[in-house]
Amino acid sequence: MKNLSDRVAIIGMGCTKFGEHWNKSAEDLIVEAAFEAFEDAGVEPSAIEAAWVGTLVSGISGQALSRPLKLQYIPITRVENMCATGQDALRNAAFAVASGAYDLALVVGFEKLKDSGYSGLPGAASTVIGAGNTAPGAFALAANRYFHRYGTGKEELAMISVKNHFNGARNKKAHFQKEITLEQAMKAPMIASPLGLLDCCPTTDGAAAAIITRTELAPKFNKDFVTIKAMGLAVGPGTGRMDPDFDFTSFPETKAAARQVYDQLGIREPRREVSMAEVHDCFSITEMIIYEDLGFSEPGKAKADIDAGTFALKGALPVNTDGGLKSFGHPIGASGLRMLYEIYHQLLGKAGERQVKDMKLGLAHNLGGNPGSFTCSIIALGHP
Amino acid sequence: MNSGGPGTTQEHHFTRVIRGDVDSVRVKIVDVLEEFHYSVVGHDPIQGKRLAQKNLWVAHTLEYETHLTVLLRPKSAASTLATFDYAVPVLFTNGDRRSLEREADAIIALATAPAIQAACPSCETENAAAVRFCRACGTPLARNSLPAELEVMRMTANATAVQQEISISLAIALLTLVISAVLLNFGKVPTWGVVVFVIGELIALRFLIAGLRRLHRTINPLPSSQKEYQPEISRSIPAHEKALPAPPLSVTEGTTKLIANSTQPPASIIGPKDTDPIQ
Repeated sequence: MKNLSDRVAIIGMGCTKFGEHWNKSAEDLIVEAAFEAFEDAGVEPSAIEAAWVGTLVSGISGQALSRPLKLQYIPITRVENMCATGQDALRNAAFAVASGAYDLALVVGFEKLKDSGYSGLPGAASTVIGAGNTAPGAFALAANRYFHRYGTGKEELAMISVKNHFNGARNKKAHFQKEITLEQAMKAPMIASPLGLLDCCPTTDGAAAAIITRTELAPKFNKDFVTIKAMGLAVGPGTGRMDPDFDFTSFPETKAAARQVYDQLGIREPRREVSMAEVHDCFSITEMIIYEDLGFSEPGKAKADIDAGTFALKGALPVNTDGGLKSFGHPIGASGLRMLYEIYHQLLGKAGERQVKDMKLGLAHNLGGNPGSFTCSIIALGHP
Repeated sequence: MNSGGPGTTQEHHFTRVIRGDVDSVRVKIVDVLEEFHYSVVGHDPIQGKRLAQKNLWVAHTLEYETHLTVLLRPKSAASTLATFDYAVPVLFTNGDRRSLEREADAIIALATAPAIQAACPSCETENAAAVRFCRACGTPLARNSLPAELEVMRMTANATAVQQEISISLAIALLTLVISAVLLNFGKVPTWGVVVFVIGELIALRFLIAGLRRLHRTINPLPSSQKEYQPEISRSIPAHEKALPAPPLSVTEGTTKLIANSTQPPASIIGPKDTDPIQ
C-alpha cells in the first residue's frame, strides 16, 4: 500500500461518556460526540462535505448519521467490519480526503447496545463453523492454549485488567471508573475458564467522532491537530477453526496489519519506537497476545513484561491509558475511534493525569471477530 | 559435538533432515515439543525449556532441566534441515548424548507420524485422518500406535543411566575396598577401616540397587510408560474454580455489581450519573 503518512490530519474529535445510557438514544449519542468534534475542530456541521458512519448493529445505511446531524443530501457511507468498524470508517474517509475528493469529512462510530437485547458477541455466523460459539468461549480457547504453551497463569491476565481499571479510574468518560484489585480479578465469577468476570470487557453504549482534512488545510481550521502516520487493515479468511494447525496463541490478522503499518513507517523496533498504544482488550488474554503480535514482547515473553510493569501508565510503553475496552467500555462501532480519541489527546498533551511523557507516535489496534476469524485495523497517529 | 565447562551447561548439537517445508515442520515440532513436556518460548528458532523432572542423582539425561533450540532451514522444496541444539546441566558419557539424539529422533517421528484414530471414543464420530480432536465433540483423539523411536529413546536413556549407576557402584565398591584395606593394615586406628568399608559399600549398594531396579523397569515397562507423551486434557472443573461465585447473567451488570465497593476515584473525575432513574 502507498504510504499516506502525514497527508491527512485529524483536526477535531469527540467522544461521549461510555456506559449504560438508558436515557439516551443512539441519535443522542451521535449528536453529543459529533458536536464535541465540531467544536474542537472549529467547523460548522454545514461545512462537512462527506461522512462515514460505523456501527455493527445499531443502524443501517448513511441515514443513521444524516438524520440526527441533519446532514442532508451529502455522501454518507455506513461502514461495518465487526469490532474493527470504527477505525475502518476513519480509514475510508482518510482515503477520500487524501485523494482530494473532499476537503472536510466527518467520521462517527456509535453503538447502542444496552437496550437492544445484545449482551456480548453472539454465536457463530454459521451453524456449521463454530456452532454454540460465544466470544468468552472462543477467547478462553486462546487463553488455555497460551497457558499450556508458555506456562503463564491467570495472574498475568488479572494484572492486565487491574492496569486497565487503574487507567479507567482516571478517565471521566470511562464506563467503569473504579480501580480493582488483583484479588478481585482472581476471585471473580468464572465466565469461560480461565476467563473470569473481570477478564471480560462490558457491552456499552457510546459514540465517538473525528473530523479530518488534508494536512495542508488543517491550520485553517485548528492549530492543534495530529496527522495520520499509517493505516493497516488485515482481514483473514475466517477459516482458523477448520485448520488443525491454527495456533490460538497468535493472531495472524494482527501481525499482518502491524506489518503494513510498520512497513509504511519503517519501524523495526516497535517496542522502542511506539510511544503508547491503545489495543483491543476485549478480553485480558487478547491484550496479552496483542503485545506479542505487535512486537512489543517476544512470543511467550509478555508475562515478563507485564510483571515488570512495561505497559502500565508510567511504564516504558503504556498501553490502554484510557482504560481500554475493559474499563472504558466497548460500544462496538465507536471503540476504534475512542482509541484514536485518547491518542489524539495524548499527542496534544491534553490527557491530564494520564498524560504520557515525550509522546511522539501512538498506535491504535482495533480487532473484530474471534480467534481464527478476525478483521484487524491499526492506525498510527503522530505530530505533523 | 559438545562444549561446556564447570558451572555451565553442556551442549550437544546435531542435524536431521525432516520431510516437509520449514513452516509446516515448525508447527508440527512446536506441538510435539509440548508432548515432551517442553514449554515453547520461541518460534524462530524454536526454543523449548523443560524443567528438571527428578534430582540430578537419580535422573537420566532426558529428566534433567533441558533447553532445546531447533533451527530450521530449507534443504529442498519438500525437506527441511533441522539443527537440534541441546543444553543440559551435565553430560557424563556418549550414551547421554545418544539419548538426546534418540529424543530428537522421537520428536521427528512423532511430528511426522500419521495420526490418529478415526472414530471418536466419546461420540463415535468418524474423523478425518489428520485431526487431533474430534470435530463433533472436541474429545482428544489418541494415536493408533506410537512410533518405535519413542521406545528406542526410552531404552537408550534408561540403559545409559543403568550403565552409569552400575559403573559408579563398582567404582565406589572397589575404591572403598582399597581404602579400607590400607586403613586396616597401615592406619593408626584400624577401626576407621571398618567404618569406611561399611559406609562405602552401602553407598555402592545403593547405586547398584538403583541401577538394577531401573534395568528391571527398562526391560519390563509399565503398560502406561509410553502414555506420558500423549496429550493430557482435563475436562473436570478445577477445585478453585468450583469455589468461585456463580457467573452473572450479564458481564456488564455483573462487573458493575462486583466493583460497586471498589476504590472510588476522586469526585472531580467522575462523570454525571446517567442511569435512567426509572431503572
